[in-house]
Amino acid sequence: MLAKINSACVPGIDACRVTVEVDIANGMPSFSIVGLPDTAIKESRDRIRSAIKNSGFDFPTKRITVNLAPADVKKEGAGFDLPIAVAILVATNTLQTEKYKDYIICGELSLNGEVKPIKGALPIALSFSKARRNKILIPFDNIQEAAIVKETDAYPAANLKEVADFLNGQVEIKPKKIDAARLFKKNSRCRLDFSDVKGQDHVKRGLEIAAAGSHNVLLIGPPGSGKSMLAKRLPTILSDMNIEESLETSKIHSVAGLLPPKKGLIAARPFRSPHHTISDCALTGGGTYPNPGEISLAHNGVLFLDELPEFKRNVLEVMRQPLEDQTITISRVAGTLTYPARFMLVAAMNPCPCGFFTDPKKECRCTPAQIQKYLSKISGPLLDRLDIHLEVPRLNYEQLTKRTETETSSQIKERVDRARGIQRQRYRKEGFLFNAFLESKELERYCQLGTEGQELLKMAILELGLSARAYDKVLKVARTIADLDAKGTLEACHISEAIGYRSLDRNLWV
Amino acid sequence: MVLQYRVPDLNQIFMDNKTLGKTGEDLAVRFLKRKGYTIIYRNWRCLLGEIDIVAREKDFIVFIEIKARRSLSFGPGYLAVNHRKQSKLIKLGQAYLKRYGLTESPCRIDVVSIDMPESGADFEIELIKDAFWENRT
Repeated sequence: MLAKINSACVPGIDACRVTVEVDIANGMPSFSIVGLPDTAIKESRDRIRSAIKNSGFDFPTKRITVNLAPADVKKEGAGFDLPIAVAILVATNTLQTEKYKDYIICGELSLNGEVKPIKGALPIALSFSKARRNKILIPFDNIQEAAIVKETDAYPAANLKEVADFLNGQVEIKPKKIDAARLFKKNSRCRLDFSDVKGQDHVKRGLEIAAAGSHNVLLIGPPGSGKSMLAKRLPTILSDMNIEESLETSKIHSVAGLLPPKKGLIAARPFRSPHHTISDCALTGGGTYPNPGEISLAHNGVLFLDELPEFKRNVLEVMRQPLEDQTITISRVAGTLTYPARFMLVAAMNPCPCGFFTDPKKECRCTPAQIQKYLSKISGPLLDRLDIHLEVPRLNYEQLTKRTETETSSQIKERVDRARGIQRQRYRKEGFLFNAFLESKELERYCQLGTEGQELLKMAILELGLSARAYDKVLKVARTIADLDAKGTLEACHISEAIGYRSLDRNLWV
Repeated sequence: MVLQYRVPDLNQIFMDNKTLGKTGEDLAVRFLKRKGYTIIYRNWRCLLGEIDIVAREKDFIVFIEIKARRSLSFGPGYLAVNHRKQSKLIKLGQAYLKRYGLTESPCRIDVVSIDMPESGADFEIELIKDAFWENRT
C-alpha cells in the first residue's frame, strides 16, 4: 500500500515542502530510502524500525520503499524519522484515518519511540504560516519556537505512540500558542550594563557613536584595559530589535540548532565572540550541506573578534564581502545558499605583540619589525571597513577606585535611538538604514559641511595627511555625531571629533 | 608460545561435517514442524546454490538456513551466517520466488542454529525469525 505524508526540510533558512511517500510491497524484505537522502536519513532506517517495534506496533516484513519528493533536492538531517514512521503505519493500515493529510509532520525518533528535537522548527512554522495547510506536528522540545508563529497551529509530539493515537483520534493534542510579544519582552532583558565599566568615558562615547551609526569599531589597548568588557556591553545600547529582526535572527539560530530550548525567540541582540582559532568556514558558514556561520549568527547584533591579529589572515579576509553586502552566499556542491549577515563588527587588539606599546607605565619590549609584522596582519581593505578606531588606555588608580555615577545603558540607548530615528527618516527612500552604509555619492548629498567644518577638514587633509579613504570615513562618522547632536549640517566640532577616531590609523599603520 | 594438545573427542572423529549437517537438518525439520511450519523443500537447488529448507508459515514463504555446530569454540552457529552468506541467500530466495512466480508473496529468511556437543546428548536449537533483510541503499 502507498502512503503520503507531508513534511518539510530547511535548506538554508527557509523551509521547503517535502512529501514522504512510502510504498510497501511483498517480496524479499528490504527497506530503502530514495530522494537524495544524506547519511543521517539513511541511518534513520534503523531508528524507525526500533521505534516502531518499541512503540508496540508491528514492523512489516515487506519491501519498503521510501521516496522523499521532490527527488532532486538534497535532504539532510534526522527530521524525516517521524514522517517516515507515520507513513509506514499508514501504509500497513495501523492508522486507519485520513487525518494525517492535514498535518505537516517533522521529528527525529529515538529508539524507544520518543520524538527528539530537530533543527529549523521555526523556519518550518514560518514558511507554512501562509499556506492553506498550516497545521504542523513538531517535536515537543521545539514547540516553543514553532508556537510563536500566530498563523500556524503547532501540535507538540512527544512520542510515536502518542502521535499514532492522536492521528487515530484516540488522544487529543491541543495546538500550543505562545504570545510572541510577551515572550519577546521577557527575553529581551539583559544583565550587563555600561555603568559596570569604570572610566573610559571617551571609549563609551565612541561606542555610542558606533551604535548610533552602525559603524564598525576597532578597540586598541594594552591587556586588561577593559576592551572585551566594553564590547560585551555594546548590545545593551543598540536600539531594541523589533519582532521582524528578532524572527530573522531566531530563524538562523533555529537552523543552526542553537535556540535555547526554553526560550524560543532571541529578543536581545546577539553577541558572538568566536575564538581566534576559528576557521573561515566556521565564520562565514559552510560544510557539505552549508550551515550558518558566526557572521550569520551575529545577524542584527554584534560580532566581536578579540585579539584580531591572532585570527588567520584568510579568516579575516573572507569577512570583507559580507561586511559590504550584509549577506553571505555560500556555494557548495549541494547547492548555493544565502544567509543574512547584517552585523556590527567590533574588533579588539593589542597595539603590539607584548601589548604595552601605547602603555605609559610599562615598557614595550617589541622590536619595530615585530610590531610591523603584528599590525600587517590586518589588511588595508579590512581596516577600511572599521570606521572608528578607539584607543582603550590602562586605567590608573584614581579612575579605578572613583565612586561616581556613570551613565547607564538605557540612558545611552535613548540617545542612540534618537539618532537612529533621524537616520531612518533621512534614508527612508534609500536602500540602507544607517550612516555606515553611505557611499561617496551619497556622502555629498547628506553630509553638508559648514564653512568652519570645511576649513577644518582641509587642514586635516593637508596637515595630517588623511587619505581619500579616511576622508570618507571621517565624513560618515561626523554625520553620525551630528545626528546624535540633532544637527543638520556638519559643524567643526563634529568633524574634529570624527578625525579623532581616525588617529590610530596614522599612529600605528604608517 | 605453548601449544596445547587435546585428545580429540571420538564423536568428532567419527562424525564428519556432512553427517553433522544432515543430522542438524533432521533436527531442524522436526523442530520447525512443531513450530507450525510446513516444509516445502529440503535442499532446494539451483545454479546459484542451495537453500537448506523452504517452508511456509502462515502467509509467508520462509527460506531457512541451518547452521549446526559441534562446539561453541568458534562462536554460535548463527554468527557463521556472514554477509557473504546473507547476500547469497537473498539471491537464492529471489531465484526461488522467480521460478515459481511468487514474487508478489510475502517472504522472509530465518536462521536455525543448532548446538550439539555430541550425538545423543542434549542439543540446543534456536530459531531466529526474520534474521536479516536485503540491504538496498
